[in-house]
Amino acid sequence: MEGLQVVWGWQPALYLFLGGMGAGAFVAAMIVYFREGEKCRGTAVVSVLAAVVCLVVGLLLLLSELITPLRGMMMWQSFSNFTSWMTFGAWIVFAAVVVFVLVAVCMGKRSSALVSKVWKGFEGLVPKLARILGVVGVALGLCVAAYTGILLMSAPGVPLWNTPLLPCLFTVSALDTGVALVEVVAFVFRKKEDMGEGTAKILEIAVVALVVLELAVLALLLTSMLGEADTAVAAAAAQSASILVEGQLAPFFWGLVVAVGLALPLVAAVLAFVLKSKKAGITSLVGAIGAMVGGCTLRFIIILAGLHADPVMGAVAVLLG
Amino acid sequence: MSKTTLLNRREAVKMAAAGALLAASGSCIVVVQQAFGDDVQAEEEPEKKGDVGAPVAVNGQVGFLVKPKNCLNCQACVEACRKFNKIPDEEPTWRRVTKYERDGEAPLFVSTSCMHCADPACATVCPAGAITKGEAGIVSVNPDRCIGCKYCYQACPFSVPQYNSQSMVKCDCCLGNGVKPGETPHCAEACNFGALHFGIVADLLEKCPDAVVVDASTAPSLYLA
Repeated sequence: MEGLQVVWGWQPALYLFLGGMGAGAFVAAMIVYFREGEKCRGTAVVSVLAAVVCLVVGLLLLLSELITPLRGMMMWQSFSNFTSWMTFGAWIVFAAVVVFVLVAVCMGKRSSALVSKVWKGFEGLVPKLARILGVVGVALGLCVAAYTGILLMSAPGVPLWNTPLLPCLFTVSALDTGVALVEVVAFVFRKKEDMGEGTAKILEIAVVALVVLELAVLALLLTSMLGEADTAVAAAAAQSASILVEGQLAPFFWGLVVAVGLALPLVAAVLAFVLKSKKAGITSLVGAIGAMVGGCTLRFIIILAGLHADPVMGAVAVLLG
Repeated sequence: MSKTTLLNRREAVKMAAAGALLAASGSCIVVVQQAFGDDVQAEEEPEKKGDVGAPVAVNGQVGFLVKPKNCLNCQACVEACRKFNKIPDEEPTWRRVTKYERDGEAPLFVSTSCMHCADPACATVCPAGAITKGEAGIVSVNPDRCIGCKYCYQACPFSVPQYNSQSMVKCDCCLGNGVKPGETPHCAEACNFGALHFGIVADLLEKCPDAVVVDASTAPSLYLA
């Protein structure tokens, strides 16, 4: 761990992964639900609940990392400075959890029946309400996915993070891992609910597109930082990128992020697309698990490689001419 | 620290300033040279010019002027920081001296703490609003509001924020131990070799116009000469 960023430990890294995956899973679940409707209700409801669990666990992890978790829970005070992206993020994640739960209540058979007993007009409203809340939830989900990257981008002390490419990377990865989570849930429900071929294909195409996009963003991010550096900030960025591609985190980067997290899901998605048989299910599952492992590793190594620059050194160099 | 001591210190500075005039006219005494020898040196070596730092902050912004060539790494500033801010031995001090190696020459030492930036990223990113830029441009933290999320550490280009079991802690120009805003904190007071100066940025630059501004997006109030 020497020479790595350790002030933020495993909790923020896991939070960024779970927050992104939960948000992405909600978006993917809504695609499944609005395309398949009743046919895939179980898959959609369980996916939304899994998304809620991801976000809540993520928030608890973040609280556990604080020096004063109890004070952190007083959100109205502790997240009141709206020049901070963490403030926006905390409230957006909070709102997302509320909306996701409401969507799950509307979509679930037993839960909607239970609410109908108390609120007579609820049953008639359910389809409309689910649709509106679904759209709001998708918007919030996309915000949460982007926020996980914006949180790091808005820390000017760490050159590896302080680039708009990072929210791009994390958003794409969030959607990618979110689709993976829905694929895992769909695999569990495969005997009860047969997802239409059209929707399954959309998910496979999404995986291919997201993996290709993620590879491109990742390549752009790293190549923009590697190489000769003429400032302290550029030097720290180059050092961070070098740790990832050829330094102590390289085995995790090439092995788990690129091979298991991107190449494997890409191959699996193409195979599933071609196979069109019962084998496609297990192929998608393997790809999905690979995507999750890769997405999680990505957050950890980006956090660990987030070195600070030393601008004072630049001034010393100028002073010495 | 009592007010009397501060007044006495001011008097001493005035006297030293008078001495500096003597120094400039070539009749300096050793003590005065220790206090102002670096200024004299700057006058003597006009060829060594860096980027001329422009005052970046509002009127009255305080800052530090560090002269690495005068620094012997005696740690007096660091020890003063520990003593007056009552920092326990097991915790790092809020001021540190960084060694910069040079090829074939003696290393340079640079004493730094919080830069009290004109646009402090720590205060911008603090979700709880626990960090504020106050009188004389001093950036300080309210430990009763800090939640300890450590986002300020990631935002600070200089890795300044530290954390104890209660909250983030960092240099507040000795406000916490009784020094008034704008008055010299104990670290600069403790420096015997003219390596660490404190004052209004505009005044520091007037005395040392060739000072190099430390370049960062937050516009730090730290200059090297």
